[in-house]
Amino acid sequence: MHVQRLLVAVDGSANGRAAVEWSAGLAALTGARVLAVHALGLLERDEHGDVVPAQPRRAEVEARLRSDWCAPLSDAVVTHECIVRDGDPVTVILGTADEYDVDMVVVGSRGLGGYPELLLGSTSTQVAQRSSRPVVIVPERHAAGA
Amino acid sequence: MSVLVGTVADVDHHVAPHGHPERHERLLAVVAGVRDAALGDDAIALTARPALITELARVHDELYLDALAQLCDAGGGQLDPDTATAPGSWATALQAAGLGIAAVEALRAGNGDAAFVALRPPGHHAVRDRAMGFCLVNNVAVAAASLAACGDTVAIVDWDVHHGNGTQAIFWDDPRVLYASVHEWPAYPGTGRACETGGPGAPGGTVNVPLPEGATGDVALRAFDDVIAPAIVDFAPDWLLVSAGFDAHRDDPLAGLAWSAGDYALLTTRVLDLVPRGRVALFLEGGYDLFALRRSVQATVATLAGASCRPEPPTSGGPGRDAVADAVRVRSRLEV
Repeated sequence: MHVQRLLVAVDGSANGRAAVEWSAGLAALTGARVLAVHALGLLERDEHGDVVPAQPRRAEVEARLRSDWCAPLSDAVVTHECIVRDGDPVTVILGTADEYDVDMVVVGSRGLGGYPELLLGSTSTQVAQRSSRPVVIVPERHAAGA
Repeated sequence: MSVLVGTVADVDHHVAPHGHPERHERLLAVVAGVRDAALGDDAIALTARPALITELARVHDELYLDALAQLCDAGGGQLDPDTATAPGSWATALQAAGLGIAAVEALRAGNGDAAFVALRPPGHHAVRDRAMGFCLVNNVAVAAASLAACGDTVAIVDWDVHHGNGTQAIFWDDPRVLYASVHEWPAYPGTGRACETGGPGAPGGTVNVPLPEGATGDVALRAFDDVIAPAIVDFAPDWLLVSAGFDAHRDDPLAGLAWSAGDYALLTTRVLDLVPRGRVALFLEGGYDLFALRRSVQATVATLAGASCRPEPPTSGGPGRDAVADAVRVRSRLEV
């Protein structure tokens, strides 16, 4: 399988960062183009962990996505694009994967949004169950290149 | 005019996580708003009853309902980054959906001229097999499906600031139910473009008017008059249900439209003109600034009773006329 384009779900958590680092490593090896996607919901957690409305923070989230959350992609000099989409993570990930016809979807293992476990199926579980494309689930402690 | 008014405030055990904007205090604000409307003898108390699983299963997968009930029995937990459950969430969701059904049943029995139900958790984001956007059970869809099961046609008007993706998806291909929404875009949940007009079984049965940030009430009224009302007149429904969110208010913290309580009064007047007396029911959806919610409910409920109530003047001058014109063009290209 030749991976030309992969989508990685990004949420700013340590778990999401592991997925980005793993994607950066793979892309550096294969020359794949990376699409880093963040789902903007109704709520976000701010830097203190407090729940705050998401929409007024859209510009801030976009800036953090480009400069901070996707830093491993920039550091690895990987061709990438950062996208913020409105919606719940599962719908956004699957819809964007279809729209860009990516070869692979990469998600963190513990779900998006900073929660340790989402019930009735974590984001990663739901994406894996519903996706028609290969899905890689990256555990949080996985180090880039390990 | 008499207004049936019901709430699940007394049986609300859907405890929100700390800091979550969709919380019990919203219902208290709504109840205060109803009281402010001073309906007197025009207010008729509506008694809630829990919905039956068979009633929910008209619009939700039973596997999802079972999982949700079991999750709450086990203590509840997070369903997506926005949506959480507590041990009492399932019972509260049953009461909320049941209250909506009780409202239309009471209207059908001739017990009132209109109905307003104050319920939570809200419903219009909930899809057939999944909770999302604070919503567990799609209350307005459950009520619409109960009416459709009796052979009636239903129009759902959704003026919550967020597009009701769940309601749209549930009735996308159902010719018995028309769904019409005016909402902010771009915004959560990412759906609701004007070009989303219904499935092959119900072409034109979905109507969307997405408005830009800052759009004021005059633009919403234009959307209603130029796009939504003509679609409903063409559809000629037996019933009109409203997903009445109040988060398009300019003070709401979750979104960016700029309506006022006075605008909700004017929208309510428009709704009442579209179907015969006794065939309109409003369902609470969003609205997260408690004072704005209280004032907006006051204006809405007073208008349902035939009173003129403008706690705040209507708004005007915001952007969005181009978006309305685009929706008109989309609608005119349909051969409905």
